[in-house]
Amino acid sequence: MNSHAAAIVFDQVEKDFRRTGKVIAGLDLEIHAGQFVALLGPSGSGKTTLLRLVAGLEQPTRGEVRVPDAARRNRGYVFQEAHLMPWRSVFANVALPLEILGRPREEIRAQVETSLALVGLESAGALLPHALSGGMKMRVSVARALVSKPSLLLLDEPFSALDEATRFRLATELRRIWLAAGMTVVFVTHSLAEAVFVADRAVVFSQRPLRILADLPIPLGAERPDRLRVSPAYAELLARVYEIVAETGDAHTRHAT
Amino acid sequence: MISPLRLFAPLILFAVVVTLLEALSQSGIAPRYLLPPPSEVWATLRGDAREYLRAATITLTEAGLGLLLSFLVGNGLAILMSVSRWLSAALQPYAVFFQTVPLIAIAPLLVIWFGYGIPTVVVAAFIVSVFPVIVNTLAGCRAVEPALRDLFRLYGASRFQTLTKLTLPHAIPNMVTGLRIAAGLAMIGAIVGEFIAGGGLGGLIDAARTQQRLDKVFAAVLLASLAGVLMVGLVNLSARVFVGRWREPGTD
Repeated sequence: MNSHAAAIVFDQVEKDFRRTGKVIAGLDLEIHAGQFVALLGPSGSGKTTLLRLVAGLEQPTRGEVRVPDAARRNRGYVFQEAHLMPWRSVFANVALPLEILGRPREEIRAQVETSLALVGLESAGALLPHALSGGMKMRVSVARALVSKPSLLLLDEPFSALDEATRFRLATELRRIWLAAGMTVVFVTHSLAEAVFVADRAVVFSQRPLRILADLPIPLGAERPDRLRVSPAYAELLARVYEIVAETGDAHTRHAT
Repeated sequence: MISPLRLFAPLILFAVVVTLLEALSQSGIAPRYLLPPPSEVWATLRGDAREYLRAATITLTEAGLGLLLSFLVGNGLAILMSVSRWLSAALQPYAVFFQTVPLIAIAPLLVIWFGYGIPTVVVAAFIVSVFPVIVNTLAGCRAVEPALRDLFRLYGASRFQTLTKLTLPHAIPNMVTGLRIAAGLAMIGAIVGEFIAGGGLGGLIDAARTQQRLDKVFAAVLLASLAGVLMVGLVNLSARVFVGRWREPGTD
Protein backbone atom coordinates (compact mmCIF):
# COMPACT_ATOMS: atom_id res chain seq x y z
CA MET A 1 0.00 0.00 0.00
CA ASN A 2 1.23 3.47 -0.86
CA SER A 3 1.99 6.34 1.40
CA HIS A 4 -0.66 8.32 3.16
CA ALA A 5 0.01 11.40 1.07
CA ALA A 6 -1.04 9.67 -2.14
CA ALA A 7 -4.46 8.69 -0.85
CA ILE A 8 -7.89 10.10 -1.62
CA VAL A 9 -9.25 11.25 1.73
CA PHE A 10 -12.79 12.12 2.78
CA ASP A 11 -12.54 14.11 5.98
CA GLN A 12 -15.90 14.57 7.75
CA VAL A 13 -17.57 15.21 4.42
CA GLU A 14 -21.16 16.38 4.28
CA LYS A 15 -23.12 17.14 1.17
CA ASP A 16 -26.54 18.77 1.13
CA PHE A 17 -28.58 19.47 -1.95
CA ARG A 18 -31.22 22.14 -1.81
CA ARG A 19 -33.86 19.90 -3.34
CA THR A 20 -33.07 16.48 -1.88
CA GLY A 21 -31.56 17.45 1.47
CA LYS A 22 -28.64 15.69 3.09
CA VAL A 23 -27.04 13.08 0.84
CA ILE A 24 -23.80 12.45 2.71
CA ALA A 25 -23.43 12.90 6.48
CA GLY A 26 -20.03 13.02 8.18
CA LEU A 27 -18.14 10.62 5.93
CA ASP A 28 -14.56 9.54 6.65
CA LEU A 29 -12.98 7.38 3.98
CA GLU A 30 -9.49 6.79 2.64
CA ILE A 31 -8.68 5.26 -0.72
CA HIS A 32 -5.03 4.43 -1.29
CA ALA A 33 -3.24 5.04 -4.56
CA GLY A 34 -3.32 2.05 -6.85
CA GLN A 35 -6.27 0.44 -5.06
CA PHE A 36 -9.27 -1.05 -6.86
CA VAL A 37 -12.19 -0.09 -4.63
CA ALA A 38 -15.83 -0.91 -5.15
CA LEU A 39 -18.35 1.43 -3.56
CA LEU A 40 -21.53 -0.53 -2.90
CA GLY A 41 -24.90 0.77 -1.98
CA PRO A 42 -28.55 0.84 -2.89
CA SER A 43 -29.69 3.00 -5.79
CA GLY A 44 -30.17 6.57 -4.74
CA SER A 45 -27.87 6.25 -1.73
CA GLY A 46 -25.54 9.00 -2.90
CA LYS A 47 -22.73 6.91 -4.40
CA THR A 48 -22.75 8.99 -7.55
CA THR A 49 -22.43 12.15 -5.47
CA LEU A 50 -19.44 10.58 -3.74
CA LEU A 51 -17.80 9.90 -7.09
CA ARG A 52 -18.55 13.41 -8.32
CA LEU A 53 -16.92 14.82 -5.19
CA VAL A 54 -13.75 12.89 -5.99
CA ALA A 55 -13.90 14.06 -9.61
CA GLY A 56 -14.27 17.68 -8.51
CA LEU A 57 -17.64 17.95 -10.27
CA GLU A 58 -19.24 18.73 -6.87
CA GLN A 59 -17.90 20.50 -3.81
CA PRO A 60 -18.63 19.27 -0.28
CA THR A 61 -21.00 21.39 1.82
CA ARG A 62 -18.83 20.75 4.88
CA GLY A 63 -15.58 18.89 5.42
CA GLU A 64 -12.91 18.23 2.86
CA VAL A 65 -12.19 15.87 -0.02
CA ARG A 66 -8.45 15.61 -0.61
CA VAL A 67 -7.35 14.21 -3.95
CA PRO A 68 -3.63 13.76 -4.74
CA ASP A 69 -2.30 16.18 -7.35
CA ALA A 70 -1.57 13.55 -9.98
CA ALA A 71 -5.11 12.19 -9.71
CA ARG A 72 -6.63 15.65 -9.70
CA ARG A 73 -4.80 16.61 -12.86
CA ASN A 74 -5.54 13.44 -14.75
CA ARG A 75 -8.63 11.40 -14.03
CA GLY A 76 -10.97 9.41 -16.19
CA TYR A 77 -14.70 9.13 -15.62
CA VAL A 78 -17.10 6.53 -16.96
CA PHE A 79 -20.79 7.32 -16.67
CA GLN A 80 -23.73 4.98 -16.18
CA GLU A 81 -24.40 5.14 -19.88
CA ALA A 82 -21.83 5.44 -22.64
CA HIS A 83 -22.72 9.07 -23.49
CA LEU A 84 -20.89 9.11 -26.80
CA MET A 85 -21.26 11.93 -29.27
CA PRO A 86 -23.36 10.45 -32.10
CA TRP A 87 -21.78 12.66 -34.77
CA ARG A 88 -18.23 11.58 -33.93
CA SER A 89 -16.62 8.33 -35.00
CA VAL A 90 -15.42 5.90 -32.35
CA PHE A 91 -11.91 7.21 -32.90
CA ALA A 92 -12.96 10.85 -32.56
CA ASN A 93 -15.01 10.10 -29.46
CA VAL A 94 -12.02 8.52 -27.75
CA ALA A 95 -9.78 11.37 -28.93
CA LEU A 96 -11.99 14.04 -27.36
CA PRO A 97 -10.23 14.37 -23.96
CA LEU A 98 -6.84 14.77 -25.64
CA GLU A 99 -8.29 17.31 -28.09
CA ILE A 100 -9.60 19.36 -25.19
CA LEU A 101 -6.20 19.11 -23.49
CA GLY A 102 -4.64 20.42 -26.71
CA ARG A 103 -2.28 17.51 -27.32
CA PRO A 104 -0.47 17.25 -30.66
CA ARG A 105 -2.10 15.24 -33.43
CA GLU A 106 0.43 12.39 -33.57
CA GLU A 107 0.24 11.85 -29.83
CA ILE A 108 -3.55 11.76 -30.01
CA ARG A 109 -3.47 9.17 -32.79
CA ALA A 110 -1.05 6.93 -30.93
CA GLN A 111 -2.87 7.14 -27.61
CA VAL A 112 -6.32 6.61 -29.10
CA GLU A 113 -5.04 3.49 -30.85
CA THR A 114 -3.50 2.19 -27.63
CA SER A 115 -6.68 2.92 -25.74
CA LEU A 116 -8.94 1.25 -28.32
CA ALA A 117 -6.68 -1.80 -28.28
CA LEU A 118 -7.04 -1.99 -24.49
CA VAL A 119 -10.79 -2.45 -24.83
CA GLY A 120 -10.52 -4.70 -27.88
CA LEU A 121 -11.89 -2.22 -30.41
CA GLU A 122 -8.78 -1.55 -32.50
CA SER A 123 -10.66 -2.14 -35.76
CA ALA A 124 -13.77 -0.11 -34.85
CA GLY A 125 -12.26 3.38 -34.98
CA ALA A 126 -14.06 4.49 -38.11
CA LEU A 127 -17.54 3.40 -37.00
CA LEU A 128 -20.20 5.80 -35.77
CA PRO A 129 -21.74 5.09 -32.37
CA HIS A 130 -25.15 4.16 -33.78
CA ALA A 131 -23.53 1.15 -35.43
CA LEU A 132 -22.36 -0.23 -32.07
CA SER A 133 -24.02 -2.58 -29.58
CA GLY A 134 -24.56 -1.43 -25.99
CA GLY A 135 -21.49 -3.34 -24.84
CA MET A 136 -19.32 -1.85 -27.56
CA LYS A 137 -20.52 1.66 -26.74
CA MET A 138 -19.51 1.09 -23.14
CA ARG A 139 -16.08 -0.13 -24.25
CA VAL A 140 -15.64 3.08 -26.26
CA SER A 141 -16.65 5.03 -23.20
CA VAL A 142 -14.03 3.19 -21.12
CA ALA A 143 -11.42 3.79 -23.86
CA ARG A 144 -12.27 7.50 -23.75
CA ALA A 145 -11.71 7.54 -19.98
CA LEU A 146 -8.38 5.73 -20.36
CA VAL A 147 -7.02 7.74 -23.29
CA SER A 148 -5.32 10.39 -21.16
CA LYS A 149 -3.54 7.64 -19.16
CA PRO A 150 -5.22 8.73 -15.93
CA SER A 151 -3.83 7.90 -12.52
CA LEU A 152 -7.40 7.76 -11.22
CA LEU A 153 -10.33 6.04 -12.94
CA LEU A 154 -13.84 6.70 -11.66
CA LEU A 155 -16.68 4.47 -12.82
CA ASP A 156 -20.33 5.11 -11.98
CA GLU A 157 -22.29 1.86 -12.38
CA PRO A 158 -20.78 1.59 -15.83
CA PHE A 159 -22.16 -1.82 -16.78
CA SER A 160 -25.57 -1.70 -15.16
CA ALA A 161 -27.42 -1.24 -18.45
CA LEU A 162 -25.77 -4.23 -20.12
CA ASP A 163 -26.72 -7.89 -20.27
CA GLU A 164 -25.10 -10.23 -17.78
CA ALA A 165 -22.61 -11.92 -20.13
CA THR A 166 -21.34 -8.55 -21.41
CA ARG A 167 -21.18 -7.24 -17.86
CA PHE A 168 -19.03 -10.19 -16.76
CA ARG A 169 -16.70 -9.81 -19.72
CA LEU A 170 -16.24 -6.07 -19.21
CA ALA A 171 -15.57 -6.54 -15.49
CA THR A 172 -12.85 -9.06 -16.31
CA GLU A 173 -11.34 -6.68 -18.85
CA LEU A 174 -11.47 -3.76 -16.46
CA ARG A 175 -9.57 -5.85 -13.91
CA ARG A 176 -6.98 -6.74 -16.56
CA ILE A 177 -6.58 -3.09 -17.60
CA TRP A 178 -6.13 -2.09 -13.97
CA LEU A 179 -3.47 -4.77 -13.45
CA ALA A 180 -1.57 -3.52 -16.50
CA ALA A 181 -1.88 0.22 -15.87
CA GLY A 182 -1.83 0.35 -12.08
CA MET A 183 -4.03 3.37 -11.59
CA THR A 184 -6.45 3.89 -8.71
CA VAL A 185 -9.91 2.63 -9.61
CA VAL A 186 -13.08 3.68 -7.81
CA PHE A 187 -15.94 1.56 -9.04
CA VAL A 188 -19.47 2.43 -7.97
CA THR A 189 -22.03 -0.34 -8.25
CA HIS A 190 -25.20 -1.66 -6.68
CA SER A 191 -24.31 -5.24 -7.63
CA LEU A 192 -22.74 -7.10 -4.71
CA ALA A 193 -21.56 -9.94 -6.95
CA GLU A 194 -19.87 -7.55 -9.36
CA ALA A 195 -18.11 -5.69 -6.55
CA VAL A 196 -16.75 -8.84 -4.94
CA PHE A 197 -15.57 -10.20 -8.28
CA VAL A 198 -13.78 -7.14 -9.56
CA ALA A 199 -12.40 -5.18 -6.58
CA ASP A 200 -9.76 -5.58 -3.87
CA ARG A 201 -11.85 -3.74 -1.36
CA ALA A 202 -15.56 -3.23 -1.02
CA VAL A 203 -17.05 -0.36 0.94
CA VAL A 204 -20.72 -0.96 1.66
CA PHE A 205 -22.91 2.09 2.15
CA SER A 206 -26.29 2.62 3.75
CA GLN A 207 -29.37 4.21 2.30
CA ARG A 208 -29.23 8.02 2.16
CA PRO A 209 -27.88 9.91 4.02
CA LEU A 210 -24.94 7.82 3.04
CA ARG A 211 -22.72 6.29 5.73
CA ILE A 212 -20.36 3.30 5.80
CA LEU A 213 -21.86 -0.05 6.89
CA ALA A 214 -18.81 -2.19 6.20
CA ASP A 215 -15.35 -1.92 4.70
CA LEU A 216 -14.06 -5.29 3.54
CA PRO A 217 -10.88 -6.46 1.88
CA ILE A 218 -11.49 -8.89 -1.01
CA PRO A 219 -8.47 -11.20 -0.85
CA LEU A 220 -9.14 -13.16 -4.02
CA GLY A 221 -5.78 -12.55 -5.69
CA ALA A 222 -4.65 -10.25 -8.45
CA GLU A 223 -5.83 -12.37 -11.37
CA ARG A 224 -9.56 -12.95 -11.45
CA PRO A 225 -10.38 -15.71 -13.93
CA ASP A 226 -14.01 -16.32 -14.88
CA ARG A 227 -14.19 -19.58 -12.95
CA LEU A 228 -13.62 -17.55 -9.78
CA ARG A 229 -17.33 -16.76 -10.00
CA VAL A 230 -18.14 -20.37 -9.07
CA SER A 231 -15.32 -20.88 -6.54
CA PRO A 232 -16.05 -21.48 -2.81
CA ALA A 233 -13.82 -18.59 -1.74
CA TYR A 234 -15.84 -16.16 -3.89
CA ALA A 235 -19.15 -17.60 -2.73
CA GLU A 236 -18.13 -17.30 0.90
CA LEU A 237 -17.07 -13.66 0.54
CA LEU A 238 -20.22 -12.83 -1.34
CA ALA A 239 -22.31 -14.51 1.36
CA ARG A 240 -20.60 -12.36 3.97
CA VAL A 241 -21.37 -9.20 2.07
CA TYR A 242 -25.00 -10.31 1.70
CA GLU A 243 -25.17 -10.94 5.45
CA ILE A 244 -23.83 -7.51 6.27
CA VAL A 245 -26.33 -5.91 3.98
CA ALA A 246 -29.20 -8.03 5.34
CA GLU A 247 -28.28 -7.36 8.98
CA THR A 248 -28.36 -3.65 8.47
CA GLY A 249 -31.85 -4.00 7.12
CA ASP A 250 -32.51 -0.92 5.10
CA ALA A 251 -29.33 -1.16 3.10
CA HIS A 252 -30.17 -2.95 -0.08
CA THR A 253 -33.55 -1.76 -1.16
CA ARG A 254 -33.09 -1.35 -4.86
CA HIS A 255 -35.46 1.57 -5.09
CA ALA A 256 -34.40 5.11 -4.49
CA THR A 257 -36.04 7.09 -1.74
CA MET B 1 -35.40 7.57 -52.65
CA ILE B 2 -38.98 8.75 -53.02
CA SER B 3 -41.45 5.87 -52.97
CA PRO B 4 -43.97 5.59 -55.85
CA LEU B 5 -46.79 6.26 -53.40
CA ARG B 6 -45.27 9.52 -52.21
CA LEU B 7 -44.60 10.58 -55.79
CA PHE B 8 -47.88 9.65 -57.45
CA ALA B 9 -50.46 10.23 -54.73
CA PRO B 10 -49.98 14.03 -54.72
CA LEU B 11 -49.94 14.12 -58.54
CA ILE B 12 -53.21 12.20 -58.75
CA LEU B 13 -54.80 14.50 -56.18
CA PHE B 14 -53.57 17.52 -58.17
CA ALA B 15 -55.09 16.14 -61.37
CA VAL B 16 -58.43 15.49 -59.67
CA VAL B 17 -58.63 19.00 -58.16
CA VAL B 18 -57.61 20.69 -61.44
CA THR B 19 -60.20 18.70 -63.40
CA LEU B 20 -62.87 19.53 -60.84
CA LEU B 21 -62.06 23.25 -60.94
CA GLU B 22 -62.02 23.20 -64.75
CA ALA B 23 -65.43 21.52 -64.82
CA LEU B 24 -66.90 23.92 -62.24
CA SER B 25 -65.68 26.91 -64.20
CA GLN B 26 -66.44 25.69 -67.73
CA SER B 27 -69.95 24.57 -66.80
CA GLY B 28 -70.71 28.04 -65.50
CA ILE B 29 -71.50 26.85 -61.96
CA ALA B 30 -68.68 29.12 -60.78
CA PRO B 31 -68.45 32.38 -62.75
CA ARG B 32 -65.18 32.89 -64.62
CA TYR B 33 -64.43 36.22 -63.00
CA LEU B 34 -64.51 34.54 -59.58
CA LEU B 35 -62.89 31.25 -60.45
CA PRO B 36 -60.91 31.25 -63.70
CA PRO B 37 -60.54 27.73 -65.15
CA PRO B 38 -57.08 26.19 -64.67
CA SER B 39 -56.61 26.10 -68.44
CA GLU B 40 -56.92 29.89 -68.54
CA VAL B 41 -54.47 30.28 -65.64
CA TRP B 42 -52.03 28.04 -67.49
CA ALA B 43 -52.50 30.10 -70.71
CA THR B 44 -51.81 33.32 -68.80
CA LEU B 45 -48.73 31.78 -67.21
CA ARG B 46 -47.41 30.60 -70.57
CA GLY B 47 -48.26 33.85 -72.34
CA ASP B 48 -46.29 35.96 -69.87
CA ALA B 49 -43.80 33.26 -68.92
CA ARG B 50 -40.84 35.61 -69.05
CA GLU B 51 -42.44 38.16 -66.74
CA TYR B 52 -43.59 35.54 -64.24
CA LEU B 53 -40.23 33.81 -64.15
CA ARG B 54 -38.45 37.11 -63.60
CA ALA B 55 -40.85 37.95 -60.76
CA ALA B 56 -40.40 34.50 -59.23
CA THR B 57 -36.62 34.87 -59.41
CA ILE B 58 -36.79 38.20 -57.61
CA THR B 59 -39.08 36.83 -54.91
CA LEU B 60 -36.92 33.74 -54.44
CA THR B 61 -33.80 35.89 -54.17
CA GLU B 62 -35.41 38.15 -51.60
CA ALA B 63 -36.76 35.24 -49.58
CA GLY B 64 -33.39 33.51 -49.85
CA LEU B 65 -31.55 36.60 -48.60
CA GLY B 66 -34.06 36.99 -45.77
CA LEU B 67 -33.54 33.35 -44.85
CA LEU B 68 -29.78 33.75 -44.93
CA LEU B 69 -30.11 36.75 -42.64
CA SER B 70 -32.32 34.71 -40.31
CA PHE B 71 -29.80 31.90 -40.34
CA LEU B 72 -26.92 34.20 -39.39
CA VAL B 73 -28.71 36.48 -36.94
CA GLY B 74 -30.98 33.77 -35.48
CA ASN B 75 -28.21 31.28 -34.84
CA GLY B 76 -25.95 34.04 -33.57
CA LEU B 77 -28.56 35.16 -31.06
CA ALA B 78 -29.36 31.57 -30.05
CA ILE B 79 -25.69 30.85 -29.40
CA LEU B 80 -25.29 34.00 -27.32
CA MET B 81 -28.43 33.09 -25.38
CA SER B 82 -27.17 29.57 -24.76
CA VAL B 83 -23.83 30.82 -23.47
CA SER B 84 -25.11 33.60 -21.23
CA ARG B 85 -28.00 33.25 -18.84
CA TRP B 86 -28.17 37.02 -18.59
CA LEU B 87 -28.42 37.56 -22.33
CA SER B 88 -30.97 34.80 -22.57
CA ALA B 89 -33.22 36.46 -20.04
CA ALA B 90 -32.71 39.85 -21.68
CA LEU B 91 -33.40 38.69 -25.24
CA GLN B 92 -36.24 36.22 -24.69
CA PRO B 93 -39.14 38.70 -24.77
CA TYR B 94 -37.77 40.41 -27.88
CA ALA B 95 -37.41 37.08 -29.65
CA VAL B 96 -41.09 36.50 -29.02
CA PHE B 97 -41.73 39.92 -30.53
CA PHE B 98 -40.50 38.60 -33.86
CA GLN B 99 -42.97 35.76 -33.66
CA THR B 100 -45.98 37.84 -32.81
CA VAL B 101 -45.38 41.03 -34.79
CA PRO B 102 -48.04 41.46 -37.50
CA LEU B 103 -45.82 41.98 -40.49
CA ILE B 104 -48.53 43.66 -42.53
CA ALA B 105 -48.82 46.33 -39.83
CA ILE B 106 -45.16 47.26 -39.79
CA ALA B 107 -44.52 46.80 -43.51
CA PRO B 108 -45.32 50.47 -44.26
CA LEU B 109 -42.75 51.39 -41.63
CA LEU B 110 -40.18 49.21 -43.38
CA VAL B 111 -40.91 51.01 -46.65
CA ILE B 112 -40.22 54.34 -44.98
CA TRP B 113 -36.94 53.03 -43.57
CA PHE B 114 -35.68 50.95 -46.47
CA GLY B 115 -37.54 52.38 -49.46
CA TYR B 116 -39.56 50.67 -52.20
CA GLY B 117 -37.57 47.68 -53.33
CA ILE B 118 -35.53 44.68 -52.43
CA PRO B 119 -34.10 45.70 -49.00
CA THR B 120 -37.57 46.18 -47.51
CA VAL B 121 -38.72 42.79 -48.79
CA VAL B 122 -35.58 41.07 -47.48
CA VAL B 123 -36.14 42.59 -44.05
CA ALA B 124 -39.78 41.48 -44.12
CA ALA B 125 -38.73 37.92 -44.96
CA PHE B 126 -36.17 38.07 -42.18
CA ILE B 127 -38.62 39.32 -39.56
CA VAL B 128 -41.11 36.49 -40.04
CA SER B 129 -38.50 33.74 -40.39
CA VAL B 130 -36.00 34.49 -37.63
CA PHE B 131 -38.04 33.28 -34.66
CA PRO B 132 -38.13 29.55 -35.47
CA VAL B 133 -34.37 29.67 -36.11
CA ILE B 134 -33.72 31.17 -32.67
CA VAL B 135 -36.10 28.84 -30.84
CA ASN B 136 -34.94 25.62 -32.48
CA THR B 137 -31.23 26.30 -32.26
CA LEU B 138 -31.56 27.41 -28.65
CA ALA B 139 -33.51 24.25 -27.79
CA GLY B 140 -30.78 22.16 -29.41
CA CYS B 141 -28.05 23.98 -27.52
CA ARG B 142 -29.86 23.49 -24.23
CA ALA B 143 -30.64 19.81 -24.77
CA VAL B 144 -27.01 18.71 -24.47
CA GLU B 145 -26.74 15.77 -22.05
CA PRO B 146 -25.46 16.94 -18.65
CA ALA B 147 -23.03 14.00 -18.59
CA LEU B 148 -21.30 15.34 -21.71
CA ARG B 149 -21.07 18.79 -20.14
CA ASP B 150 -19.49 17.14 -17.11
CA LEU B 151 -17.03 15.36 -19.37
CA PHE B 152 -15.94 18.71 -20.82
CA ARG B 153 -15.63 20.18 -17.33
CA LEU B 154 -13.58 17.20 -16.22
CA TYR B 155 -10.90 17.98 -18.78
CA GLY B 156 -11.04 21.70 -18.13
CA ALA B 157 -12.53 22.62 -21.52
CA SER B 158 -12.82 26.34 -22.26
CA ARG B 159 -16.19 27.90 -23.07
CA PHE B 160 -15.13 28.11 -26.68
CA GLN B 161 -14.18 24.43 -26.82
CA THR B 162 -17.47 23.43 -25.22
CA LEU B 163 -19.34 25.57 -27.75
CA THR B 164 -17.54 24.35 -30.87
CA LYS B 165 -17.00 20.72 -29.94
CA LEU B 166 -20.20 20.02 -28.02
CA THR B 167 -23.02 22.56 -28.05
CA LEU B 168 -23.04 23.50 -31.73
CA PRO B 169 -22.58 20.02 -33.20
CA HIS B 170 -25.29 18.80 -30.86
CA ALA B 171 -27.67 21.55 -32.02
CA ILE B 172 -27.26 20.92 -35.73
CA PRO B 173 -30.35 18.70 -36.22
CA ASN B 174 -32.41 21.38 -34.47
CA MET B 175 -30.83 24.06 -36.64
CA VAL B 176 -31.97 22.16 -39.72
CA THR B 177 -35.50 21.88 -38.35
CA GLY B 178 -35.58 25.61 -37.61
CA LEU B 179 -34.27 26.46 -41.04
CA ARG B 180 -36.84 24.23 -42.72
CA ILE B 181 -39.69 26.03 -40.94
CA ALA B 182 -38.03 29.39 -41.61
CA ALA B 183 -37.71 28.67 -45.36
CA GLY B 184 -41.49 28.53 -45.82
CA LEU B 185 -42.03 31.56 -43.62
CA ALA B 186 -39.38 33.60 -45.49
CA MET B 187 -41.32 33.00 -48.70
CA ILE B 188 -44.53 34.26 -47.08
CA GLY B 189 -42.67 37.23 -45.63
CA ALA B 190 -41.24 38.12 -49.02
CA ILE B 191 -44.64 38.04 -50.73
CA VAL B 192 -46.25 40.15 -48.01
CA GLY B 193 -43.32 42.55 -48.21
CA GLU B 194 -43.79 42.84 -51.97
CA PHE B 195 -47.47 43.67 -51.50
CA ILE B 196 -46.33 46.92 -49.92
CA ALA B 197 -42.91 47.49 -51.45
CA GLY B 198 -43.72 46.22 -54.94
CA GLY B 199 -41.85 43.92 -57.29
CA GLY B 200 -41.71 40.14 -57.55
CA LEU B 201 -44.68 37.80 -57.36
CA GLY B 202 -46.25 39.79 -54.52
CA GLY B 203 -46.18 42.89 -56.71
CA LEU B 204 -47.76 40.96 -59.59
CA ILE B 205 -50.51 39.61 -57.33
CA ASP B 206 -51.24 43.07 -55.98
CA ALA B 207 -51.41 44.61 -59.45
CA ALA B 208 -53.56 41.78 -60.85
CA ARG B 209 -55.91 42.05 -57.88
CA THR B 210 -56.61 45.73 -58.59
CA GLN B 211 -57.35 44.82 -62.24
CA GLN B 212 -59.69 42.02 -61.19
CA ARG B 213 -57.49 39.63 -63.19
CA LEU B 214 -57.94 36.50 -61.13
CA ASP B 215 -56.19 34.35 -63.75
CA LYS B 216 -53.06 36.42 -63.13
CA VAL B 217 -53.49 36.19 -59.36
CA PHE B 218 -53.77 32.42 -59.57
CA ALA B 219 -50.79 32.16 -61.90
CA ALA B 220 -48.63 34.14 -59.48
CA VAL B 221 -49.91 32.23 -56.46
CA LEU B 222 -49.13 28.96 -58.20
CA LEU B 223 -45.57 30.11 -58.88
CA ALA B 224 -45.20 31.39 -55.33
CA SER B 225 -46.16 27.99 -53.95
CA LEU B 226 -43.73 26.26 -56.26
CA ALA B 227 -41.00 28.70 -55.19
CA GLY B 228 -41.78 27.93 -51.56
CA VAL B 229 -41.53 24.20 -52.19
CA LEU B 230 -38.24 24.80 -53.98
CA MET B 231 -36.85 26.76 -51.00
CA VAL B 232 -37.78 24.07 -48.49
CA GLY B 233 -36.42 21.45 -50.87
CA LEU B 234 -33.09 23.28 -51.11
CA VAL B 235 -32.83 23.45 -47.34
CA ASN B 236 -33.57 19.71 -47.07
CA LEU B 237 -31.04 18.92 -49.76
CA SER B 238 -28.25 20.97 -48.21
CA ALA B 239 -29.09 19.46 -44.82
CA ARG B 240 -28.69 16.00 -46.27
CA VAL B 241 -25.43 16.89 -47.99
CA PHE B 242 -23.77 18.76 -45.13
CA VAL B 243 -25.08 17.13 -41.97
CA GLY B 244 -26.19 13.69 -43.09
CA ARG B 245 -24.44 11.82 -40.31
CA TRP B 246 -26.32 13.73 -37.59
CA ARG B 247 -29.52 12.16 -38.82
CA GLU B 248 -28.37 8.57 -38.95
CA PRO B 249 -31.07 6.22 -37.76
CA GLY B 250 -30.80 5.06 -34.18
CA THR B 251 -28.62 7.90 -32.94
CA ASP B 252 -29.49 8.66 -29.38
